[in-house]
Amino acid sequence: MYLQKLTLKNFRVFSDIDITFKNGINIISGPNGQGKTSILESIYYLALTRSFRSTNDKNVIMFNNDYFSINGDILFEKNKHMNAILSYSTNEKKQLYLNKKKIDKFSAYVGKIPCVLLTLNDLKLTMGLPSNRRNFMDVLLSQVSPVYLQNLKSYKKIVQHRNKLLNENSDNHDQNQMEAWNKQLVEYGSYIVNDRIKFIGFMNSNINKYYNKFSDFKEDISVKYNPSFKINSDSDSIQEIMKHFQKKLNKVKFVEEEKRTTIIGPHRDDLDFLKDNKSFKEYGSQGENKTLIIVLKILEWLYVTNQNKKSPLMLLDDIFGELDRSRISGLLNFLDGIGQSFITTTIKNKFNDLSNKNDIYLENSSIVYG
Amino acid sequence: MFENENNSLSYLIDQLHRLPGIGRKTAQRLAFHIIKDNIEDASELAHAILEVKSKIRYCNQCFNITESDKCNICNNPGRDASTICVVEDIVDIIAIEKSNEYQGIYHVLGGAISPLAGISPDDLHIKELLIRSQDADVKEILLAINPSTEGEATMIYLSKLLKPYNKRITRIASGVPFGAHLEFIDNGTIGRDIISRRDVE
Ligand SMILES: [Zn+2]
Repeated sequence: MYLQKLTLKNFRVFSDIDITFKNGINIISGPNGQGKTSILESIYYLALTRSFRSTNDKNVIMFNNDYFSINGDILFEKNKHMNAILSYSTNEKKQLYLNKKKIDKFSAYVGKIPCVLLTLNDLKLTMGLPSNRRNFMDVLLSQVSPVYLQNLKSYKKIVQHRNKLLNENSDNHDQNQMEAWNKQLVEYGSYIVNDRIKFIGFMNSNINKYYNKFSDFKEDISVKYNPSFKINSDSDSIQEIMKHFQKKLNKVKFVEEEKRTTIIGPHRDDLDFLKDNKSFKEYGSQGENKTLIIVLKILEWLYVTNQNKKSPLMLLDDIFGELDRSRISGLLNFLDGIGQSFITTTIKNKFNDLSNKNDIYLENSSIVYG
Repeated sequence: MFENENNSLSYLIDQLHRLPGIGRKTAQRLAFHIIKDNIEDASELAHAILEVKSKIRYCNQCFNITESDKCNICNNPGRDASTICVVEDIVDIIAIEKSNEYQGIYHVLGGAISPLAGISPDDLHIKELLIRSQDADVKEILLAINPSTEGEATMIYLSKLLKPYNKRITRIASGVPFGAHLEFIDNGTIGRDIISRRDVE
């Protein structure tokens, strides 16, 4: 599948623009401030119904306007066609149309246009906050299965309810009500953990193969799952995960009442990246870190392709300035064989060697095809 | 804008906007419709609103709406009083009645447990349900609550509280789409779900 045409209205700097893309590598170049990143943002928006830059839909609307819309035409194999429109106006909720039909449940839609995003921000994935690593898994798994996204939404809601309850009646607990929330916390949470385990298993089976393509030394890279309760990642069934979760939840009951917040569950999960069994955080060099991030994004692409039976669009925002020659050529090699990708850059001639590419040059927020 | 210059108009728009599901734009459209209406139609509407407020009360048994002490369903000797169907809201009764698959009586909770919305079990008609459940004639309690996280919590909570009464406790099959609301589900689906209800473990 690939995105054939994109129409933006009042989106960031674009009041009204049509862009045609090719299947393959699309290079979006031009000086800074022309809206290169906004184009990637709009594609991501259309795919995941939210921005990767702003949490507030309002911020995306062009100055002095009261709505924006993103309209995308997607072409599948055998000339099957799909149209998706996402719009937002200040006095109405976000609206989504798929082939002219209104979609009310966004979670059932996410994954129709899978995409993998790589920005400079992702370079913080290994060293940064645990929430970055959870978000990495959540965005990916939501695109693999609508059920994951549903479970995640319910789970987050349950955590909020539970925290409110813990905060309110710390001395006067309605135990029956707490157990009603606990039962759901454990159920939804365990399904989330189960899906994360599967993905982490996939990463561990494939990470070395790709990492060592970029590296001169043979290193053993692995991903370690750090859940907030003890599990056996290799063998536990969903029932066993639930049992472990419930057990730990009972154990921390008094701690939770004291801290007045939910301290156990997938919202406290973390990942550790290991090089020869030593933490990447401490022992990984900057260059190795960049390699690892690129490999993780490749694995993300592979996993979604594997599970979703659709190849995600690759969105790479302004990262090539940060990479050396060998990493660039390794990444481009991968991109060259995998369907559609979008690269923003200020230095267009970095990509001169690529034979099959679509050049899009932005100047004064209008477009020149090259 | 024009709203600021016309106090009575903006007042009407505000009042309409207060209603659930009525956005600002819809409220404006309704208000302009009322302006164009003739005076008789407008006073009919105003009268109907006041009439409903003065006549309609809650059934003293099940909290359905009624114009007397008990609602039509509780008063109907043809209904099977051994089964109580527990719903969140009166609109859920309407949905279930449309399906024609349920012959028992109801109990309206008036919402679902939600710490975030500040709704605790004490705010719902749960005590009244427990009192009704003591009746030996009641054999089954069917929980037909929306399968949202709040509805789910309410069902788990109720089944815990109802356990000592030794009644059959059932819930509608979750053919109801995940997170969907009963009032928006077509009659066929809710009917099937009631027939294929299952015991709560
Ligand atoms: Zn009644």
